[in-house]
Amino acid sequence: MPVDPFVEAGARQCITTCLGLEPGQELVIVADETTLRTAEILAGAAVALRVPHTIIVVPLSIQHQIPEPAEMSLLAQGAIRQARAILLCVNAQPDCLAFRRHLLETHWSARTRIGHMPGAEPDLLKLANADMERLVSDCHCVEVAFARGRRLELTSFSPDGVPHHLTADIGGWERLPVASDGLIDDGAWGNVPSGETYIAPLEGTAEGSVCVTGSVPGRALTPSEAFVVRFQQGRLRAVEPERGPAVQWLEHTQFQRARAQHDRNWAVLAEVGVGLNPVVESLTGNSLHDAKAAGTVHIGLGSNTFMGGRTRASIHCDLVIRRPILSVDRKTLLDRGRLRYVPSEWQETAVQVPLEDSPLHAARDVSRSGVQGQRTPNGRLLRVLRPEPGRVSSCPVGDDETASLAATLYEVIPDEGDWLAISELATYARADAGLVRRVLHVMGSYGLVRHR
Amino acid sequence: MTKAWPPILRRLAEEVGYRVQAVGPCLGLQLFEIDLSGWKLKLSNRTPVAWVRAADLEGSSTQHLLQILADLRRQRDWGRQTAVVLIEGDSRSLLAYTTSPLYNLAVVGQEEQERLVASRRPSGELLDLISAQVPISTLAPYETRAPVTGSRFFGREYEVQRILSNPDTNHAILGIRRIGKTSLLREVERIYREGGESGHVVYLDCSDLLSADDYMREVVRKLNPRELVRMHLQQTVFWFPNFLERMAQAHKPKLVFFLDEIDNLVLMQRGDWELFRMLRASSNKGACQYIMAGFREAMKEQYLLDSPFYNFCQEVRLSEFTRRQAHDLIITPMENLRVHIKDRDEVVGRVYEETAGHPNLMQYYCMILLRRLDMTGEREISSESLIDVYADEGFKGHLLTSFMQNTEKREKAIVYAVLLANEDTPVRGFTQEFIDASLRRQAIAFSEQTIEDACDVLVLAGVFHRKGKEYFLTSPVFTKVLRRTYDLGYLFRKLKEEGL
Repeated sequence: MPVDPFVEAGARQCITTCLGLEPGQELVIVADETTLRTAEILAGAAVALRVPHTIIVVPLSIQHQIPEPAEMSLLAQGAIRQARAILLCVNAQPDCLAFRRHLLETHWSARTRIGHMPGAEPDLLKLANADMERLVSDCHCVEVAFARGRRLELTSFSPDGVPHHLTADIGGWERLPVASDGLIDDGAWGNVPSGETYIAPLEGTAEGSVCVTGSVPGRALTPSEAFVVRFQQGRLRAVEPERGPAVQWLEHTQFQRARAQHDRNWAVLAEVGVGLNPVVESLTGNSLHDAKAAGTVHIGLGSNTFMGGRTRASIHCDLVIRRPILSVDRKTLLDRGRLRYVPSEWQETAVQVPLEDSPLHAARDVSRSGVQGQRTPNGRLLRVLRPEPGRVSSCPVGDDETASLAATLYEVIPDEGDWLAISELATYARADAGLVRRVLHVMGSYGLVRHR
Repeated sequence: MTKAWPPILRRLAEEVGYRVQAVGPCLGLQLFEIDLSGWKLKLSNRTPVAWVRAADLEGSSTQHLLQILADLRRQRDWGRQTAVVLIEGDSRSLLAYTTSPLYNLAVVGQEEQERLVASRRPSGELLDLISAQVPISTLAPYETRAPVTGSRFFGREYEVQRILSNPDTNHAILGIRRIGKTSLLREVERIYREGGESGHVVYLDCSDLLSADDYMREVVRKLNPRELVRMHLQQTVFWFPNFLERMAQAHKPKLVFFLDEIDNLVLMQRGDWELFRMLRASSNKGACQYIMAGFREAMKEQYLLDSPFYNFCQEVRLSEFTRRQAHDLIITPMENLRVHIKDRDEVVGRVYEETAGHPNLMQYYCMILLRRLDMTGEREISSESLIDVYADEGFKGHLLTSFMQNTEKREKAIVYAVLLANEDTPVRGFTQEFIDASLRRQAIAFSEQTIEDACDVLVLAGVFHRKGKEYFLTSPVFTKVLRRTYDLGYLFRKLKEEGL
């Protein structure tokens, strides 16, 4: 069967760019009867790229039994253990979640890359066919704003133009966002392909309303199906109109199920995410796909422990909003769906930092905090972010020049937590004492140093 | 009978379901044992409890009581175990002394006991009391030098299950040094012994058994020493299988052998294999089951078609912990010790990534963190606590000594060359071709076979990890410590001077 060239190109991107595999590195694709076609396309791409691959087919009936009483054969386990990357290209049914979790728990080690593709249909592969450099950059721009920001405001519009406002606290380093750019590094797992950045707002802080105009799980919305959700103290309090078709759909497919399980947390605002993948042409009702659509924001209800939040619930229900305005600390990040990231608003220039109001103005000593910093090969300092297990990201400390100065200072500050006099630091770094204090101020705002 | 027990022990036994038993009086004090192994700490299933009644306190000074408790420790052979002392009276004067780690006692006074008896969470409050008195690094279950079982055994439940659910299969537990092979073997042995019905358990440490005769003699000594004399008069190749069958009949349904450190035995048998053919035959007849643990030689034999090992055992290969296992290893004991971990994902993630999930290193890491808390009296670990772990001399020694002692000059040269070639960037996966290029950059050319052999040794020594065609340095923390402790350029030059 001929393969759509965009799908084929996406499959290649999944292997080379997303999983970072090179010729000779082993790939294992775990598939089932619902995803065989996708697995086959991926295998074809692997052959073309000279990436040795193994497809392990685990039928749904067996997935239901794993881990007990069935177990994967030793042969299959051996292949998975030896693989440099694993693609879990299986169905997205909730009752097979235990199988997916089992695979993750038993095979996710420090050197394995696990790409997650639940409900993988061939068309989903097209998402990897984006300008990855741009996509990665966009994901990390939103990540910086979400990581540093304290409060976000989402303005959505009903089809007739009525604005709805929602505000929520995001903590300023207290909660770390996840930049799901679809690139899976050693020891990491994530959705492949991807293209979104999301954060779990602080519990109990969401207030206001959102007009949902894009899609809900299992259903893309027409303009007449748009509905409004109202939040108070972080929880969903009302949905209007109650009898709308999309609301009824949600009620039957999500909310009733959660209530039947006596789930008290299903209505918690769990996530605010920004879709950044321009390849998504239209919304389909597949949340994994729709949440990545550029120009959209999605809010999630229910569970968010997997993204650094504290809410455990029986559901995670994404509601997608088309073309909203999203501001963080009153700085517009998304303007009617268009990314509007202004670097100077988020990445300071050290020489412009007003020192008079800074605690670094009078500080005597400085030491490294426990927060991890990392020097890039081109001499810039990055602040390492670990928003969820296995996901390591980083953002530059200030603008380019500041990050470079910060790297120089960071090298000099003892890495065992000992204090160093700022005057000595300036001498070692051969830099002006005032500039050193300004750079330290910026480093402090990224949590990398402490002072006394 | 429990009416004569202290009320708190009575409650724990009768209402909460703890296994408690009276072990009789000693030096005038009534002694008990309580099973606290479920707490996943260093408290055993026979944690000693001494009951000091009001009458015992009369006319005795605190010093006298301390002397009695110290004598008790010696006489009852409590070793380094933490003992609980229940005082029918005021415990304050005793508490002033027992906070010293020398005594390793947790004292519970009358008032606290009454509170525990009335409490809705007696286990939790008892643990609170113990962890407030005994250094948490003493209570922690982490162990870096000896095998562990029971409550201190972490993360290999899947492997345990695999072995237990296939009682008719032989198993070979394989893996690099300090990955937990002996712990797994002993844990399965413990479960077999406790279960009782699966067979008669024989545990043998084969590290000093260098011949088939040594092995057979040891087995006979364990099973029926009276036959040792007969053994010498027989041709063992006929007599020993018969002996095993007779013993299996006597100890129905079968004999279950736990053979640790089988590498030397494999090495000495290679080429002949008489002993292993006998073992295989006894297993095929259903008389014996073998669960063995080995390293280098055993790993090789698994794949050789003409070896009696081939198809004899189901391989249980131990690799580094997965993230889930690492999470449980770090978090469960810390929570039980009432240590709060701030930024949990960050702390667990960093410990995991820096040790690459190696259980031994993770436990060492956690022990350092707990010792620090003992020194400061704090009960919180955050990402800030992680910054100076590498400064710990013990940790450095632990990492480096093993490398220095287990590798030859060529292997060291490869490690240094790889690190020198990656000075500015973190070391990722690398191939033999990369190793060759790194060595050539240092003006050294090894044959392909030499590189292959050296890499094998480094894998077995736990320095490299192999995945497909690529090698990785097993733990980033090792690289960091090596770089910090030595000038690699200098070490490399010296190796060259001394000759490779």
